[in-house]
Amino acid sequence: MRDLDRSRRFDAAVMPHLERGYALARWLVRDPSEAEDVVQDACIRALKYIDGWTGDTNRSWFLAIVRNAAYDTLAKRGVRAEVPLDDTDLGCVEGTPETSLLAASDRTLLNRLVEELPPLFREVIVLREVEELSYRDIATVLDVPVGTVMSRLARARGRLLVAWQAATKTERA
Amino acid sequence: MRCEDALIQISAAVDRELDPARAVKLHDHLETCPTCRAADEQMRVLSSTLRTSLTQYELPAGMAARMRATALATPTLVTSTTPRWVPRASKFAALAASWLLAAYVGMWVALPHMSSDDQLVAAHSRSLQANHLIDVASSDRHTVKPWFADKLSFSPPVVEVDGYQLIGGRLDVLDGKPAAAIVYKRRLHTINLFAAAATPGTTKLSTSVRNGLSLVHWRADGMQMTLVSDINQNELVDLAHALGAR
Ligand SMILES: [Zn+2]
Repeated sequence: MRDLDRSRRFDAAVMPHLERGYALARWLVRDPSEAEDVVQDACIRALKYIDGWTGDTNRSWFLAIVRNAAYDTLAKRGVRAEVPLDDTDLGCVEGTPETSLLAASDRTLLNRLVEELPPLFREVIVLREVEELSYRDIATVLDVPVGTVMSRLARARGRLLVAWQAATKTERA
Repeated sequence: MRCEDALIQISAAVDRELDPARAVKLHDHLETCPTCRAADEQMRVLSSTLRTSLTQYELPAGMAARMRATALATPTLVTSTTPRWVPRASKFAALAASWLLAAYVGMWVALPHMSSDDQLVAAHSRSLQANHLIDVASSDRHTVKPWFADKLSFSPPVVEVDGYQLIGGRLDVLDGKPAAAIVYKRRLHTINLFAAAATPGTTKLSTSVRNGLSLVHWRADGMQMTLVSDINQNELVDLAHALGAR
């Protein structure tokens, strides 16, 4: 029966990655119930694609679908997926954050700083540092060349470093 | 090597994603450039701190079952997007079967925390988000009504109403049971009329508001009917009256 086949394929291709998809959606839309809607939308899209899909239905495949669904939600809020043009992200920063001083407050702070990044920077940080995907897999999710992943990640980190040090300085001042 | 290029490569080296040739050049640059050496140290601290600090979101309880049930209960569009190798005759059978499955899944999927209004609002929102507002596109009730007849055990009202443009119909799922959704447009707004099998009897119309959406409920002819839209409630009540609600 075709529908049993459909549910079996769904269980194999989507269910194992559902939690990772939800985590990415949470980071991108930053709202639990909207993230749930994004994942629901992604599940429905995934089912539609499964039939015509010949490649691997792995985690990157599902994350790419979740990402597209999340950007549709962001677009409805008027958030545009753009990489900021300025190159100051790569400016050198002074001083070194002291690892020994990293406490619970830094954890909260870092989460906030990542949340405040533009979505295109936020997602590379999350895909790398939370999902621990390789550059090649991140490139698949984002549908961009590996070189773009490399430079975007560097710029996102540069921004985070500047913001982190600025925030830490204010706190200690 | 320019420091700006070095920073990109430092970041890649932190991830062990730098090819050996460039790694050697970067190493040479770091030997001679204290600024980039500091940046290298910072990137490493940042990366390892992020790994232990960033929130690991977990699936809310029951979400996996909900996602699965709704996705599998959402019919694939009955249009040319259906893969060519699916025999035409089996398509309606497949749809009907997917509803059996939906009903079965509905028995075990837990939706107790979702009130009926929440479910209706969710179904309305879903219809706007994904490309599945309508399964059968037609402004002609003589096309939409028979389309439902093949798939449901009850006969939802499909009525053309002045001032409200009928655009088509869709199968949906409410409380794990198949429901008809009849879709109207008014100006730029989308209106879903949900009809599901209910105990016989008639109730007067009642209204509610959820997440900024208006809902109008009534029961007639063994069906629970609900209109959901973001238009103002009076317009929705007018439509309910035109559909026979008292
Ligand atoms: Zn340098």
